[in-house]
Amino acid sequence: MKLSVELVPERMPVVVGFAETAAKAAGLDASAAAMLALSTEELFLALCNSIPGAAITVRLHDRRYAADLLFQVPQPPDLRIFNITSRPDHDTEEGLAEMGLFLASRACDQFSIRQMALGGWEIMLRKERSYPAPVQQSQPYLAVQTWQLTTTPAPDAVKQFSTLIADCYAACQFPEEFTPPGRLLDKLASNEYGLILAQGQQGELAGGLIWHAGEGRIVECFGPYLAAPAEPEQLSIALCEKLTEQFGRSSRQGLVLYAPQQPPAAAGFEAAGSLAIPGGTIWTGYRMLAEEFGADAAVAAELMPFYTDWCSSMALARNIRSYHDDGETGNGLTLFATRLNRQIGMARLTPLLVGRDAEAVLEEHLHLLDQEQFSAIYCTVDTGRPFDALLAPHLLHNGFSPLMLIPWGGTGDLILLQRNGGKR
Amino acid sequence: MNLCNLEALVPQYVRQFEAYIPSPPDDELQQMFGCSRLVRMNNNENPLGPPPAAAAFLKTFDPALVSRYPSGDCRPLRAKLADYLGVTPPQVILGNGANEVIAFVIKAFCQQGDNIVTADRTFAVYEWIARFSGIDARLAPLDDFGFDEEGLLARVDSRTKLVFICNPNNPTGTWWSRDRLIRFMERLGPDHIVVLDEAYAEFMDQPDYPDGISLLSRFPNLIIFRTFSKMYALAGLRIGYLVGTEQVTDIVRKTAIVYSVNTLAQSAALAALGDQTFITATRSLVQEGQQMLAAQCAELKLPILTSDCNFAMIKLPFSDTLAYRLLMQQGYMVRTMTGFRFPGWIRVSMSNCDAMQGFCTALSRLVHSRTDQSPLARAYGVSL
Repeated sequence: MKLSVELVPERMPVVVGFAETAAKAAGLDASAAAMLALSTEELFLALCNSIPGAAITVRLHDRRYAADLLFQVPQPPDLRIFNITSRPDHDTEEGLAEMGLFLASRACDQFSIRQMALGGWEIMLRKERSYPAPVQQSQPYLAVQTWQLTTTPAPDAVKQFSTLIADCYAACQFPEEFTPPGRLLDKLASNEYGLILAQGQQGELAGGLIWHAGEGRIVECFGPYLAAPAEPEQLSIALCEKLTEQFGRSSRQGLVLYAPQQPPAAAGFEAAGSLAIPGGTIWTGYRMLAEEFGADAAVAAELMPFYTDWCSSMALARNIRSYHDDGETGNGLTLFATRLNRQIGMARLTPLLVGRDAEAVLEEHLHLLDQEQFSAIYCTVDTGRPFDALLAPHLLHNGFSPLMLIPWGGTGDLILLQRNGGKR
Repeated sequence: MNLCNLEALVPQYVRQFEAYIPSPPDDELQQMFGCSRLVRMNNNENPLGPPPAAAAFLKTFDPALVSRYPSGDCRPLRAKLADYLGVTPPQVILGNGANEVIAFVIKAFCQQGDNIVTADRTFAVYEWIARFSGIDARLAPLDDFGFDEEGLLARVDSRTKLVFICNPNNPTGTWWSRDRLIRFMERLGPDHIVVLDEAYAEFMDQPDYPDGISLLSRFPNLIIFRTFSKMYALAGLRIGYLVGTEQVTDIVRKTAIVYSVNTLAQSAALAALGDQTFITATRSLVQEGQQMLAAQCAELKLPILTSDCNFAMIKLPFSDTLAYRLLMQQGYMVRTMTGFRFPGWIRVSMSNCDAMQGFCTALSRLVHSRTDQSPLARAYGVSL
């Protein structure tokens, strides 16, 4: 579904009506559709102020588990309005519009803006579907001696697998959720996710591994989730190898594994760090798929020891340049894409632009996330985008520390930092 | 600046396809990986260099000749090849490397909605060219590292135009015997073209190994690919060819690009062709390399697949792409097999004695450094 319209306030009812109708058609309940419509209203008004009269297209992307409302605009709007902490200036009309946008972004689960490869900008509002609470049906899980792997499991097997995750790994789902069963089935139906399932000869569940191939060069993998974790080695290896084989001849550069337990070394994943999440510890592994030829990397002096250590242990060939703040303007302003999981209190910040206001914008974000009681806050720094290095001292100053390195996770390598507490 | 509407202009199958990125030059790689020399053991090149006659020709080549176009259809070389192979000149078509003749054949026979059938773990270029041409590539899993007759036949339907068989298979080195190939051709029938890629045929020293060209009279739906890049060491000049019946090559010629094989390549190939002394010397070098590598792998308890070909596959107890990076640091470049859907394997090209010894030492050092720790410490880089 797509709507082409001019950015004039008179068109707002048409756009809002389109958003709500399309969201309902995509399966959002009335309340979620209304939230998306509200967000649409505020975003549309803000865009009318920023680039009045421009022709835009609005379309809805039904992801099954979520609905994305995508606004394609031909030129960059005033990007400051997109930070979730953008504060209203009550003295001007523009300020009031920003206040609306502030509310709009908080009504969504994900809010981002990106420059499109073929020209123009795309702003996304994502609202996730809600699912009924799972029925409690804990059952004993037994080890399966011989198993077969399938990449096209039957819906009943997928539901069984989701129940296994809920029963045995509920607290260790990171950074995605695969429960209740309806959510996992919808994620698989979106084609962005896949599942490799191991079943015994009678169809009994042995374990499985989920992958998510979003945009970018990395595939995120979750698991292995095993019915009998005491005997995981051979099954874990088989699941990991099948996954690697599946993406071996693809354009993807690597696999990142978020594992609820330590995967065996022979599974082919290299250690990439571990993460403390509200429910425990997540082990992370990295598996490069391609032969890499090395890369340039711009790294802040504060992150240099972490980065060089990891490059050394992962044998990454990097031409590392220490990036210093020499007073340059950078991108002019700072803009974060945010991804929120209110249920588990997790927030991920991705810097889209980093400018001289980085410290203030970061602190505003953290203040807001603290107010809303987000306990697990992460931020990434991309070694392929030199201005990201300007953000590093402010992250460390605000209690973040680097935990994980994802080679080729962004334009260059991605350093994932986690906030430990207050200011240092 | 007016931006053209690329979104609308680019076909979906091209948009989805990711461009292949070849490796940078040696000096850049050496600088990046911090090694003082780089031994390429990733492309199955012949370390002996071209046969003496070809080398002599290249040394004395008159630069004035490069201002003229080459023979557009490689006439002198086709004549010599035809004589050498026992076919007629029209049965031979040359291209700028075997990759180009793969494209000629796919363009000649396939249109939207058609498909090709091949194995899932073989030379990738058949699959790539089909996919970025909008043609479906159906892949049959290998059976015990070899092409699986049943799996291939099960994927063939009325829209299957081409079946690609790499014989011997790159990267596993497995091959079909003459009897097996004949049995497959009989079962498949005449309604599909079978492309027999014999890029490594000159390395084969097995009585049962079939010469595909000798089967053309019996199976006119066969096309055979050969190359001057591997045995004849002319990879840098890019020259390969196909042989088929005249009826088939008359069709392929319609989509073949003329003048794409340069003068140097044509003349060097002409000089190189059929040098049996050189072929014997190369086979001997390959055999020594295979034996040395097999002994090293036995000592390290690593599974290895060897063959008559100038490459071998080794299974490592850790990631092949990590091994690649660590071997690069020691100055040895191998091919990772994850991209061939063999995670954890590397393919190593046979080289001269010095390089093979150096590689064996580097491999041994690598395996010990990764396996001397406990599995947990190794996986997570921690000391226990």
